[in-house]
Amino acid sequence: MTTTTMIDTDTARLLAGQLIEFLETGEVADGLFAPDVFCDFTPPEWRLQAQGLGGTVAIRKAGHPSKGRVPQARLDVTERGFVLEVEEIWDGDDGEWYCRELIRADVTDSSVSAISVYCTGDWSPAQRARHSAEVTLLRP
Amino acid sequence: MEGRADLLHAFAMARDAGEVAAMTEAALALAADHPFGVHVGSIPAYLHEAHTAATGRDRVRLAIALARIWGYGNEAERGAPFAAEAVAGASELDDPALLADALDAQLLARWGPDELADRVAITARLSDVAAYVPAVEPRLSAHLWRLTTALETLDAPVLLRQLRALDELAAESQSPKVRLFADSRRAMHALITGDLDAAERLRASAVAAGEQAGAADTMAIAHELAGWIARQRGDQAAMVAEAATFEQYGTAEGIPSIVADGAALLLAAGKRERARSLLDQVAGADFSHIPRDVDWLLTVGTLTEVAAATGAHELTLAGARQLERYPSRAIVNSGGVVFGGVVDDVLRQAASALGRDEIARKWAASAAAGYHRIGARWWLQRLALPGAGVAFLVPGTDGVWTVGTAGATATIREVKGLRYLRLLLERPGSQIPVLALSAAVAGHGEVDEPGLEVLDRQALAAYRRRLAELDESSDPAAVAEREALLAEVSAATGLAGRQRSTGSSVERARVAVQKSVAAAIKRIAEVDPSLGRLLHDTVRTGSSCGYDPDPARPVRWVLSR
Repeated sequence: MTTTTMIDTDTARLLAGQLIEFLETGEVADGLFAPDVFCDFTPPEWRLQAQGLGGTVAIRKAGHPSKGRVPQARLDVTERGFVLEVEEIWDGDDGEWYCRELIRADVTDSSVSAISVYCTGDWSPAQRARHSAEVTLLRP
Repeated sequence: MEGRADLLHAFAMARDAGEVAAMTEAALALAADHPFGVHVGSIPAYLHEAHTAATGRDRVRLAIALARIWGYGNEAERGAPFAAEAVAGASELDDPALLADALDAQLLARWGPDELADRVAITARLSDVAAYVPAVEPRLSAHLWRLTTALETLDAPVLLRQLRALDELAAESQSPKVRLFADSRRAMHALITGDLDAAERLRASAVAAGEQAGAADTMAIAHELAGWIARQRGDQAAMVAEAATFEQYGTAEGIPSIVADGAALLLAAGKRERARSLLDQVAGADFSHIPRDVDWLLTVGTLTEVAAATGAHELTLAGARQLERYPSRAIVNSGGVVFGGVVDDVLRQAASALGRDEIARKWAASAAAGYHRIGARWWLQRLALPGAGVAFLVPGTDGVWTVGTAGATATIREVKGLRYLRLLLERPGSQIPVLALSAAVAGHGEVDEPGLEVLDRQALAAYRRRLAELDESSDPAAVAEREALLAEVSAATGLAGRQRSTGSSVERARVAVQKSVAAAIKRIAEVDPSLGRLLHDTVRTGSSCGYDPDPARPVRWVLSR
């Protein structure tokens, strides 16, 4: 039986900030992930999983090896952890690439113990330009 | 050494040929070097078949092996009849070396919590017999048993004499196996006295000797010592890593004492929820299914500590009731590999957790007496902590926090520094950049916010109600209001923009966090001066902030209700 408790907003904010830092730099802050963290990553039409810190970092680095930016993010605290919605931008040879991700994290003992990531897939500069030309978004 | 398949083949061939002596040697070789605590599988079946057929000295050797294998497999009661037969047979043959071996096996079969008096008596006989045997093994066995029973009974002079005797035997014999035992027990004693550098050094030399000897228990000894070194150093990362190893191995092999050790390490590392989860896995309803063998006191004692610290009141009570029968007894891992405190100390923690402060004080006094007897400095320091080493920093409702030590808490009004402190105490040994810390505690006016918005649901609901009303109207004023509200809702529910950190924002955050934390510690010190001092000494603020626990003043923090 796993004991779960309502996590507090301060802890969720700290972990979410550290998670964004990880997305931006690839560096894992002390205590961000539990040593046996479970990662469930769902890009378009595919799914990958890892158990443990090494595997989780490896999944991230296989997809996004270079540093990037998270210009926008939104955090919602949940009973067992938090949900983080992010936009990511990173530089490619042909310009800026882009993706959106929804990340659900379970928190145990003040560290992320499980993480589910749903990703839009990587939009190339050309795809971004086509989307911008064809679709007018209601909200940023 | 031949492989298992070869030995099984040799046994089958000997059986077919009716060669009992060959069956005996094959069965004994199968049982050799079986690791302690691991399930014995079919080994007893082969030993028993050979034992049934054998006579004389070989029959005694097989009875010894049967008693020992059941003891190693944590089913000592099955070995007891064979041990008795072996002792009687060896006495009849007037073979001191064989008798010493039989007594060693009998001790393995009498290793439960209620058989200490038997162990002391058998150990005395073993020492007498081994004194006239030149071979190394009987003398090693006698020294180890005397050391173990001395540790169990907190008899420091005998303990020190046996440590010295093991050193001499290792030097005299040049045996790496004896060196493994001598140095690992020296490491155990260094941990008792709080000499962690010596413990590290002796652990390394013990492991090297064990690997040279090919001793099956080397890795178990290495991990047991590493776990306690990490605990006494307050090395959180090492504790978590060791705990994972203990959990994995203990679960895979079905050994409750090893899972319990993992839970204790997690607890010491501040991982209360995971420690509680392991407790729930192995404790059952009331510990009644834990075998009353060599590991019983270790398992129930360790789990009762975890129960007391994690609010498992029924298990705490059940553990305390059972442990009360063993006052002034040390909690020892198998043959004295590690010392886990005295039963009285566990009872103190249990009584404190159950709110029985007067009883807790009584157990604290008797625990202190036990620790003084063997010079257990680290344990005495732990005991001397205010409130039995459990401290509270718990946010409550209406901006009131509970702070203080067990049995002596107070409430204080919330200040921002308490929230910073709590985040730092959650992560002992970690470095947190000051901007990350200040961003986590929302509403800090002086520093850049990273824009991680928690939705104000009440405000949004009001906006949406008004939008619904305005949707029906074509009045220009209503349309303008609608557009303005839509912009607000969009900003609130979309992805919030994040500002970038700058040098000036780091400096502002550093100053603000430092002031806030200092003010919070001052407020805590007003209601609990010793806790205030502890926080003052162990919490650092700067461009990075952290909480570095003081190994000399270990505290188990309770940070949520």
